[in-house]
Amino acid sequence: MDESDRFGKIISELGSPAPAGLLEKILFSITRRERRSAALKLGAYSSASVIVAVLLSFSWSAANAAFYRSGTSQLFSLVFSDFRSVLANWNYFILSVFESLPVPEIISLLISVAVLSVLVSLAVASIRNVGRVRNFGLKHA
Amino acid sequence: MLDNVLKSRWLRLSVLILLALVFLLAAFWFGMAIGEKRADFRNHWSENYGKFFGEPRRGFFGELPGSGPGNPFGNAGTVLSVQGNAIVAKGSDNNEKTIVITSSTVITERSETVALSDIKPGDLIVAIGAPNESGQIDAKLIRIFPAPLNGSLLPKQ
Repeated sequence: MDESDRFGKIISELGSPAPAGLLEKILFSITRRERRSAALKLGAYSSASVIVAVLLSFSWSAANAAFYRSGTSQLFSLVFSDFRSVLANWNYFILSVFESLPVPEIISLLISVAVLSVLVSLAVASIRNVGRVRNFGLKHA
Repeated sequence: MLDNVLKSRWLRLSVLILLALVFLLAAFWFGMAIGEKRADFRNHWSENYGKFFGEPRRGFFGELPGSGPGNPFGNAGTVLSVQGNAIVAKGSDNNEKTIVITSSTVITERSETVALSDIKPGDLIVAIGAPNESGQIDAKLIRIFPAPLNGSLLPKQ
């Protein structure tokens, strides 16, 4: 049963004849609202993604600076320069690297990445939804 | 029957929750173990601060200023002095730490193994080791880094 049949059934249940072009007007209105809603969502998710991407760049530079300041990168570089000694003392090496990690900066970076991923996937889903909005076969919709 | 049980959403959810719990408990246990070591090290470091580095300016309740030593398992920073078999170095946490050289300590510079006498004040070192009962680090590995152009291993704060 398509929209036209359903509309005919509703009108027959109401017991009065439908004005000419009512179905088309209703379907056109639904299509327009669905498109507007999808476009609004796309705009909102895209804007939020851009804002979070800017925040992510700040988090990234803060984490980068914190890695150098805390000595994590220097400690980690021992893997390349003194691999055998690091292997022999792997437990102290791991604990030392963990202890030196700039945790607040890493958490902020991970949260930014997570939020950006969700927003980008929502934006992509909105792009798909804009394309999928029902046309109901209307030429002027 | 077994297939249905294995495909069950509830089973998957339960396994996921159990794994998450195991992960959380393991992380908690790991954090507790490290925290205990850190607290011990900080306590011993604080008790012996005057003995190793001279009597510092203390706060109202006799506490040491600053946040205390951060990493009890290593240090990345500048050598302040070399006293006997110990190195006093200032790290990224801006606190002095004593790094003790033991018979098992390996000291390297570029691709060579060097002696303690090759370490001079002002050298940039990275050390890993175990915290001891005196709030010092018994070094397992010390690497001397070539001095960067700005004179510091760590960026200027």
